[in-house]
Amino acid sequence: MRALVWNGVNDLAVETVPDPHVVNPRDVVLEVSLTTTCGSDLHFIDGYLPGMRKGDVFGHEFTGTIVEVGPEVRDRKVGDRVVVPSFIACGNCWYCDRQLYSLCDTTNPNAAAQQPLLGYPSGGIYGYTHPFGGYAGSHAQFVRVPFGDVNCFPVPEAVDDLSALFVSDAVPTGFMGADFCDISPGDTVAVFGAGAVGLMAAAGAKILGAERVIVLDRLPERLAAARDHVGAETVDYSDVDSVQEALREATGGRGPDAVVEAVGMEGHGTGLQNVVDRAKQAVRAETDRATPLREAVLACRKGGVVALLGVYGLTDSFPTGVVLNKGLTIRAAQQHGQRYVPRLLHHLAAGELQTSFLATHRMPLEDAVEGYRIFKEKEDGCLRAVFSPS
Amino acid sequence: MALPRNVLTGARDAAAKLLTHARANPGSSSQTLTVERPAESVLAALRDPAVLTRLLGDLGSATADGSRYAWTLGGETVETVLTETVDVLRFARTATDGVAEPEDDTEGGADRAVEAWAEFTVVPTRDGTRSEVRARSQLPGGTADFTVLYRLRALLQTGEIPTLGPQPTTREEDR
Ligand SMILES: [Zn+2]
Ligand SMILES: [Zn+2]
Repeated sequence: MRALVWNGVNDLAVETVPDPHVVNPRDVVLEVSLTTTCGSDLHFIDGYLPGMRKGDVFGHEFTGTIVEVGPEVRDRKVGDRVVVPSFIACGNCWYCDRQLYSLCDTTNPNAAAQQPLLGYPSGGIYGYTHPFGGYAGSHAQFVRVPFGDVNCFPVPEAVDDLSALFVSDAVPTGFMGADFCDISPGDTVAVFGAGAVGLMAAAGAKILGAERVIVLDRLPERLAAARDHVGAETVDYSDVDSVQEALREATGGRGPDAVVEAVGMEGHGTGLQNVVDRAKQAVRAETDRATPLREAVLACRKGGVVALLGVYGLTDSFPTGVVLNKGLTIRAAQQHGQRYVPRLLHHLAAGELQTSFLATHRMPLEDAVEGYRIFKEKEDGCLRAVFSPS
Repeated sequence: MALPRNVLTGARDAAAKLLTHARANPGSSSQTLTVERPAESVLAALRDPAVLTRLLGDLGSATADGSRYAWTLGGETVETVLTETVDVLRFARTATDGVAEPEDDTEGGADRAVEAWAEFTVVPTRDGTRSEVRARSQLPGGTADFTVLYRLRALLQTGEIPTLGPQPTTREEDR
């Protein structure tokens, strides 16, 4: 089959690789219909995040049709049109029992490589470095999905492939961030970052009853998407002296009740600290630029919630004292997608949620290298590049 | 999240027991995982050479003839004899004549005559639904004990061991 592979830092290619097949009895194999870029891929493409090996097929947000099922798959069958969350859950462990699916205790074949770093390893993920499992990713014609009954969600007829695609990661990740905010009627939620995850966090906050949602970014087309497709208010942070002041001003001096940080270490912050962080990152002294997280902590009202969705490495400049003195609650996770996907598909089918506008660029998988370039440069208003493998 | 009281006390008891055992075996490094299965199922799995072979995976394999277990790792074979106490399975290396080397079973004895080649302590929680399993072995590589326990938990709870199998990720020659 054809697949997009990582051959080294900033060295990607579409190549012919062997087809995947059922290996374990509860596996299924999907023919991928659509697969999309994710900001978190840029971390290992750039080489900031180690753990990729030459020839790895990557990609972790996808939808497709089941073409092969293992002998112990019960509820899914060949021909099912399904969407698959990016973290692999088993449905049988302590964490899956508590719906903390990305923390699954059994699906990471390279758990031992992660244990020294995290203390307790995360679940496995498709196409996202070897410490995260080393599974082949979805930027390919076919992908093997472990525990098909747990991880494949049938897409309702009323939902097209493109809308369903983003239910793989960006939508549940954003929605989970909004869920973390414990929204009460009258609440104001600020969302840092109007990429796909931030936009979906904003949409989720609306669905969960936030009275006001304020989205911050510096790219005019992304701010326009937040207004036009989500109905959020927007702030161009490159236009203000202080994000903290702008949000205080916009909320009658109290600050937002919750802040969702959906930028991560690719963030383009402002101010002196960002310069220091960038310098550190340039010399690899520290791999994170933690500006968006720090600003989220500063901007949130006292006693509020900061939901952390942006992907970070290990950061050394976290404002612990501010968190303590403001009585903040920090909630963070990689997406527990299996918890939210059925509800999100229902919102899509009912027309209460729009996602297809995230697909600003569509192309055949053969053009995926160029697709990643456009996505990385945010060229031509690119939110997501979507690849069709066949 | 609130856990039932008996689960908490059970876990505390089990942890205390493991700690006592660890103190009695100074210098040992070990790994511990909780498996959501009763101790009998865990012990049964660990006695089964076919299961041990699956847990070793790429590391090697195990065969058994009664209480004699032979472990093959990277072309070398280690002969061991299995001895059991209530909650400990100990695979001890045998001498060249095939007889188990003598052991000093004195609790707290730092001068044990024989280090177990592999040892699994399986402590049931008070409600009996789960077990805390500790592995200490001379398997090569610092992470092998953790890997074996991780695979054991996966196998007992899901019926499979996570694997990449013959998948396209990473070309053969670059692995
Ligand atoms: Zn993603
Ligand atoms: Zn699990």
